[in-house]
Amino acid sequence: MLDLLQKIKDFKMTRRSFIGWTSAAAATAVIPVSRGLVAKAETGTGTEDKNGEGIWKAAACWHNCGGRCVNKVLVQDGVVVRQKTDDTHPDSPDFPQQRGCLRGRSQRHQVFGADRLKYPMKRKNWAVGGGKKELRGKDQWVRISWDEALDIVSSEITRISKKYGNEALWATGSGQITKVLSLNGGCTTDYGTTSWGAWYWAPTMMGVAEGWTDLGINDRIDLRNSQLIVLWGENPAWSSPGSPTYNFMQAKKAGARFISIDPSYTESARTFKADWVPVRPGTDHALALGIMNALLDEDDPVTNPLIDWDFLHRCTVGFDREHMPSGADPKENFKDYLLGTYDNLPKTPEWASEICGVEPIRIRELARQIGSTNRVALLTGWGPARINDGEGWVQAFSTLGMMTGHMGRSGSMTGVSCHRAAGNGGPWLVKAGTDGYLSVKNPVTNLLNHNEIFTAVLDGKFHQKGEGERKANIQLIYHQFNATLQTRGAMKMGIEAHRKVEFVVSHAYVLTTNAKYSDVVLPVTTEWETEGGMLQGNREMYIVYSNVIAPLYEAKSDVQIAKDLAAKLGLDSKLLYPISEKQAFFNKLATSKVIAANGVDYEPLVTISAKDIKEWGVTGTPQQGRIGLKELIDQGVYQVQRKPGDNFGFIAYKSFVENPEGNPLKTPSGKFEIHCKTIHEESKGGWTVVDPIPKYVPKTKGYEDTFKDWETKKKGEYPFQVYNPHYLRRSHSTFDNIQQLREAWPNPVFINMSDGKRLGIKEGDTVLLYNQYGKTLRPAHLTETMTPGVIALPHGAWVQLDEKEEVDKAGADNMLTGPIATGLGTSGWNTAVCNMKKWDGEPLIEDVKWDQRIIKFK
Amino acid sequence: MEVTKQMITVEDALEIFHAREFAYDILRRFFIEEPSREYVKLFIQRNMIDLFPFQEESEEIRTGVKKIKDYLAVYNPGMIDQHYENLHWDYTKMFIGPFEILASPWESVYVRKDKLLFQQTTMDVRNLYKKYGFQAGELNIEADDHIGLEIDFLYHLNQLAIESAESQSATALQEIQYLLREQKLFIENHLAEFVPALVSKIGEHADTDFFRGMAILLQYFLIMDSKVLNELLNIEMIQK
Repeated sequence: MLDLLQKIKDFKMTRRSFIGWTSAAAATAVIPVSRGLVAKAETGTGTEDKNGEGIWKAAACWHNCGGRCVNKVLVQDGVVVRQKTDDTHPDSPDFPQQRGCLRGRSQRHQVFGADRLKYPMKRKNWAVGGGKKELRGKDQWVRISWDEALDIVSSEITRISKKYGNEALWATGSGQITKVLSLNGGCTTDYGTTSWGAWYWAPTMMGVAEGWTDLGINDRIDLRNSQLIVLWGENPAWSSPGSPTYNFMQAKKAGARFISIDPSYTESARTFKADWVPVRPGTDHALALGIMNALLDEDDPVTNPLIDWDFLHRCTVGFDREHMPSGADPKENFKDYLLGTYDNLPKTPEWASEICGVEPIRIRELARQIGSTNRVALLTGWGPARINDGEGWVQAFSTLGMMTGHMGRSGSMTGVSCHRAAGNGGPWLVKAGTDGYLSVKNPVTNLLNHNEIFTAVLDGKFHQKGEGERKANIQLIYHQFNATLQTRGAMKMGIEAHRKVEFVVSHAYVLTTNAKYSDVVLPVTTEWETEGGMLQGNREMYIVYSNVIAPLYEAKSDVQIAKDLAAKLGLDSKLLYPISEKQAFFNKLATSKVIAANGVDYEPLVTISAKDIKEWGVTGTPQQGRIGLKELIDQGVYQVQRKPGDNFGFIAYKSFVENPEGNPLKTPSGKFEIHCKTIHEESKGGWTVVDPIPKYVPKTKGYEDTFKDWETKKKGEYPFQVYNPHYLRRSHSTFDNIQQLREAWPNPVFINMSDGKRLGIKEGDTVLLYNQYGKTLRPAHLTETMTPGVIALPHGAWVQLDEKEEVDKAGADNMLTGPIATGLGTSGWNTAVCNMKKWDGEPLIEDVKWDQRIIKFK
Repeated sequence: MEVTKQMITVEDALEIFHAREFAYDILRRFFIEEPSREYVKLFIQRNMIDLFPFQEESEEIRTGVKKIKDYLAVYNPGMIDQHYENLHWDYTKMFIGPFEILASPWESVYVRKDKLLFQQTTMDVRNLYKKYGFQAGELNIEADDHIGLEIDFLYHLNQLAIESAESQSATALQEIQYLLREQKLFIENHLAEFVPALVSKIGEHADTDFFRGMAILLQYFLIMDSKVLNELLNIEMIQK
């Protein structure tokens, strides 16, 4: 027991302590406690209401997840206490709510997580020119001020561009910094096919839509007129959260049958009770050819009309020798290729089956179902085209739709159905305006294809598309707004490349892989901390979000960082940002448009009063629109109400199909080009030559590459195919460090039961996937719902290398991909081969039990 | 049998308040931010660790003091750059990042199932600060329930008690009683809820005996101080 009175006596007896304490207090009082408590300012506290429910605000859900939903937060006393989703109107099939998913509802965990990057930091062993560059990714960090951070970044930009030229600066992806560096003399940039795969360039050349800006399928209400819906590599339940699955359910209720062609039995297939056709990744092209051969074989215009000859003759060129585009060799027609007239290799179902694994009888059945059903929706996601040598698949899939005439009519459609436009095509009914920021031309023309970004750094050269080899000497990597090191191919080379250059800097809100391998990290705000903005989703609505909280910690917006960096570089940021972020948001709202009742014209979306302009403190002109400014901001969404028979429906290619001569396409022939000279010619400036017609070529790192000897079917060193489904735990790589999502979605690797049994792998065992590019570990999930010989490794897990930097524990998909460019420059994540074995090291513990940060630092 | 209630004068209580001021000043400075070079130098030069109160009453406090003295016997972060940098990094690494934060310094992380910052836990603390006219110097930049700020709050409440004691005003006794009770509750409701877990994390992850020792002092001084506050609240305080 403490005898306090005695203690006080002791204190008094020995004056030494007392004098020591008080004199220490006097001495240290002059040293400031820079982050301590201060006297509270008396302003700005008038809005609190402790007994009320607080204020609901529309919050951004800004991710590249494949959906776009309404997200709202309850702010109580400055704190976001909970979230909700769309309740702005009652839900109905015709006028659905835009409801969020588990990721959007986890966003408090993203914004307020203890793992936010709070301050600018520099790598401890960083020095001008790099300084122990090999320590990138495992060095200590030192907190620095914004001023010091921007001094370092700007002086390295200046030093490196003076020493090596502006080409030595590489701004990855696109964003505000590309603009700043363009103003500063330019920088190398990169480009690629990202999610689109081969749908990025090829479709437009042959006259079909790529599926993002330009939509080639009918709208969701017309989808209910389809009798058969083929989901070919399309899984909206996982890849397009929000309303798409619900929209497909309406077609199901209206009587549509579903077929799912996919390496796995997807959640969508289960939901729609689809017939599942298991197919090997990268072999959809062969399957499509087999189906088309069967159509030719079985078609009889009188007794068994499976092919729409009228459509082919009126709307396409290149199908047969009688309908070739001008100047093309008649022998190059597609029909004779299918029949094997000149190569003595008919592309029969038997031929296709050997490649794609679908039994010939099922291929014929598919041909009959697609050919004989009146109204078919042939829908594909981008996934099957995210392969090496993928252009031919895009051509073949489109040709199948043309051959069966499932285009341009109600209930009939063929095209890309994914991401924000899954199952719902047509022009945008609400269009966001422009912010009023400016951009400048980048004086540097070096453009790195995504498949060569890291080899360009390591080998000092790259292929400039359409031109040829160029030298490169990249010495500075600026990661502005992307996950380049995590989500581009050949990650192990990427890490090596990051350790080669003289300087690496990243903007990041948590320690992303980009940031981890940097010299300097600059903390950015999340969208909840910005002035507000607009987000496009499906065609019927536009999301508007407002500021939820002030920037946390020392985070700044990308625009603010760009302005500050421009100032350090001695540039006039007004040339890029002549206005404030608030004015930019206002401008965007003020210039937004909504479809008029007639379904043709557009009118202003927002009503703005003089009072609004004054309250916002911006410049503008009052205008009459559909919805008041405050109402829109509070509501968080504007959605056009739809009903069957309204003026907002859409039948893709309708006017062209009805009158091809009167409404020609933007192709040289004005028609769909089954024989497409443009693709062929363009590919000559690319990486591998693409045939004008959809001729099958074995895909690099595809099924054929799992064999040492294809003829005898002797398997090779890497006998498995591995592909990367999008996984609901993440949006690409975003959200991967959120514990409740890790708990809900444990991220195993999906393996067919028979493969597991053969290799002695049991459910939950840790397995090693490996090939010449890298090694990665995951717990095994054995299932009958995978095609045998195929492994599904979910996309986007944050790499976590072991201490020797050899084996990744997180299941990062790009540990298994290499720097392979094919065709027009397509990135082919879904064609990769590997081997698999039970891991003999320490088994993985569940991801949710990992520490939240990705890197163990000791 | 009659129990004689013990009594203490405000003047004597001030002795205790100054001891607390001294201890909390050290603790707040080493937990609120990376140690500043200037302070570390002074800390060593004045041999402040030797003066840390309640060593005689607590074996653990003696252990903490010893660890720090052992460290200072080998390292001199006041004078030698490398030693200072390592000490500085020890703080950064454990409490700031950008890698895994090895010893999260926020109450929220320990008491909330969702481990989120800037939620109710943070706001409860913020409201307490506000009650006494304080706010975090970096409002919304640093979460209010940071260990350093919570200790700083105790430091400031103790300062208010010192001011009251020295003012000799008519309400001084009431003010002191009130402030003592508030401090006791704050330790019980907030610091006691997470300091043991935090301290064990620091023990596990600190590179230096300095921070290991400081963590022990944090935990056991708080325990000792709770006893002190209890005693002070049980003894009748009188103004001379």
